[in-house]
Amino acid sequence: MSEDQLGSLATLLDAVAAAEAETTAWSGEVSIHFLRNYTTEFADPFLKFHLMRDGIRPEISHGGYDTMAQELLDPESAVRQHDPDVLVLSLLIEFLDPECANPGWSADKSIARIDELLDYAVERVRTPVVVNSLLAPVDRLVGDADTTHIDHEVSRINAHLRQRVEAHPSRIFLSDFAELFGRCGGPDAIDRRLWSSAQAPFDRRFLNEYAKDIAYFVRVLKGRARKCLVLDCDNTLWGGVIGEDGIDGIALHDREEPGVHFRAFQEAVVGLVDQGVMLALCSKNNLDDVWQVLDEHEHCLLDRSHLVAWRINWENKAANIASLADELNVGLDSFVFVDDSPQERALVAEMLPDVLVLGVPDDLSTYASLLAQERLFDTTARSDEDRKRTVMYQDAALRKEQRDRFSDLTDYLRSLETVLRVFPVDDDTKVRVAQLTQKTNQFNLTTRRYSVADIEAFMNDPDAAVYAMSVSDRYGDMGLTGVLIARRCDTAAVIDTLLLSCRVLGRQLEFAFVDLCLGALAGAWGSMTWRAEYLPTAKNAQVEDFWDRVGFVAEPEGGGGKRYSLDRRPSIPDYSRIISATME
Amino acid sequence: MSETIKLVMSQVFQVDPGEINAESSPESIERWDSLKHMQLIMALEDELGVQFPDDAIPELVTYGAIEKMVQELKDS
Repeated sequence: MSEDQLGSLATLLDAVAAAEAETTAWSGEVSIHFLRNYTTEFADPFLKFHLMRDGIRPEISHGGYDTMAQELLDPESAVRQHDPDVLVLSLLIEFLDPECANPGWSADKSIARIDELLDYAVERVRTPVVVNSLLAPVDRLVGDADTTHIDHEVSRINAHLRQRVEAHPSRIFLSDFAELFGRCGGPDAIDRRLWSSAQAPFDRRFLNEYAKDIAYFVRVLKGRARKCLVLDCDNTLWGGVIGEDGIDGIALHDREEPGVHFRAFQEAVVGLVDQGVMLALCSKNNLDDVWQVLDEHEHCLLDRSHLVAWRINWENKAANIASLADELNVGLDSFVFVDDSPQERALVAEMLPDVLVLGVPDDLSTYASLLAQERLFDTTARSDEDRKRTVMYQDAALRKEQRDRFSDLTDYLRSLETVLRVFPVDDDTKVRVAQLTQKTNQFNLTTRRYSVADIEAFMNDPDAAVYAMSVSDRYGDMGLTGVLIARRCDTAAVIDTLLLSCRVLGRQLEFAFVDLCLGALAGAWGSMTWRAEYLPTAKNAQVEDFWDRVGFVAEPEGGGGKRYSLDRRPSIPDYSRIISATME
Repeated sequence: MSETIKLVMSQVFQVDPGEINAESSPESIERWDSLKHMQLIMALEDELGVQFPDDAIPELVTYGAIEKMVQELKDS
């Protein structure tokens, strides 16, 4: 599916129907239920487009008009029965409180109602919610009524919503209708005829932007947000060609056209790096030319410390990006590539279909907002680990250089002087732990995704234990990079989750981590039968025999995945020569 | 023009354009419900550069009626 298909409703509907009819395997499925008080069905094709383009097949349903609370509370309702992955609470103020047009109207009742709905959704149904900020009543938006009092009360509701979102950043996501409304040309975003005939006020552009917001949140929840941004240099990071125009000839400036647009784009890129996005360069240049701009150009905001890797050479870019994926240990479906050259974009799109490829817009004034508007990267709950990530990947590059010098792996691993700390998760680490369950795909035995609230529930449950590990070595601190969750069921200890971040694989840390966790669990819960499982996904084949390797006995095949049990301590390979491990 | 109308209808309802005739209606096209009807109207307006009068929209429920209305709008 391509952007062109968004150009007309007919081609969009056609493309979506064709994609739905395809029987190819989707890399993810998601069920989305709209709890709404107006006609939201017109958003469906746009939402399907933005998710299917990323390989996620959505199942979309819409509840009754204005039956949000009933659906959340009634155990027989479709919501409770089908247990959707995401709820979209889609609200218009005129139906939330029909008195909103009256003089002296107070938003108190609406605030209480929204609070109640969010409480039901988050606490009772335990499903993440996309809620919209409220617009003034449609008649007011298109100028038929005029009262600033309404605007003031509506903004009170929205301020309250923002507080709710900040309290639950990984459970509640705000689609800012006021912002979308402005972006779509204000009153032009209202389709008055659709409003009067179908109680659906929004036009195609607005629905498209709304769908992007929802799709973004779904990707974040599914651990499918993009992680790595790869940029071309000439006419992408600056205007002109550095090899020909020289450092004084390229367009990059804090005020002058057209350089100001490239600088604004760089500013947006640096913002993403600060939020934990990995940045790499892939360009056909002389390396020294590029470093000269990054090191010396007075208006260049990017510098080498922002980069986790680069491929500045004359090889083909698809091969270069594939090798970046290898080096960074990140799937190609985590990459976004920006290049001004249609030929380069076509090559990468053709050879590496999982990479999302973007061009430089003809209208440079829209360039800086390109990445933000596409909402590709996860910028929701940020932990300290994200901010440190670029530094950690730079450490990893040093580690790799070192690895090439040792012929024997054990010698190499010992030379790293690895220190492993294992500890029970606490309030300071729970955000990172939840994030790891959301994002980790490769070394993840069960791929169960948990929110911060889920982790808190485990922490408060005497029959559950959540352990985390953090790793450092002579090259630096890799931070919190592993999670094990266990539950006690009668006389068995069940390993619910075991995962390690891809940054620390291949160092036998998994053995030390499991060893210490099981030791602690045996101490806390007494002698137990261990139970564990492996649930296969498209990405976790590397751990399919992990439990076999530590001596667990597989039960006869049943359903998907493998189940194991063990009545004694597992036989874990000796790691003491290479890792110094402690339990806190 | 009639080709465009048939193409849009085929895209919105996922039917073969060759199957569409003057009598094609919600009776004969399974997916033609009230929601798809509004999508059809919006898609036709996009593609043909016309705007249907509000009160005519509920009446445009056969291919024949749509073609006639589009012709009238183009002529006026």
